[in-house]
Amino acid sequence: MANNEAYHIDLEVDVRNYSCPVPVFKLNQAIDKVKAGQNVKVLATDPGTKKDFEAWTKLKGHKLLHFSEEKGVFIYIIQKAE
Amino acid sequence: MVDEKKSMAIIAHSGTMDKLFPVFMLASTAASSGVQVRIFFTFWGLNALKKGGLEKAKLPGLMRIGTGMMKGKMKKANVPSLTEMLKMCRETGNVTIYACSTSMELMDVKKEDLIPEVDDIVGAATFTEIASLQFTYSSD
Repeated sequence: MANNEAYHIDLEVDVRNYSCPVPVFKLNQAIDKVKAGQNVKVLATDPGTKKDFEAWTKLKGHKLLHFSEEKGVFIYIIQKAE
Repeated sequence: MVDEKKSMAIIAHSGTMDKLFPVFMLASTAASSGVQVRIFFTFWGLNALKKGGLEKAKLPGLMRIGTGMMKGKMKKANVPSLTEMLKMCRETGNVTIYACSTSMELMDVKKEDLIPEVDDIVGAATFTEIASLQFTYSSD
């Protein structure tokens, strides 16, 4: 059991098989939909997301709570900042 | 609380599909990351702002024959088209699109020929002023 299941997820985004710019665009859309303090889970396969999501959280001020990889799928849990 | 937003200026000088791709990829990604993006379309870039221009953009020179194949490859890889990326840019609300006034004159392009997404027609001095501005916002 991956410990990503320890977090409460308010919105899940699936961008598997999509590469730049789609993952960041969809993540941004999702963050706009949730409230501050809520969590968005993203499933991605693009290895570029590792650096892209880190850059994005820095630019927007949100928090990357969790990152793991399971059978080629990257799992991100991002919390919307206050 | 004052929150400083980052900004980015992109000059789109070319109307070929390959050179328009980084323009829109960078714009949509930066805009999705909260960056204020200003794109200045000049010279051949104006062709992209004409109605149907983005759809018609081809690969340069002799490679234009390969445009269809490239588009097919991109569709298979789920890469958004130029038109789709323009839409994404608008959705973020962070992208402003400018057409170069001088180029319009030189290339005989009229305002009516342009797509509605063009925000303004400006010259170099205006774009420099806009592009070098740093926006500050107060958020509560």
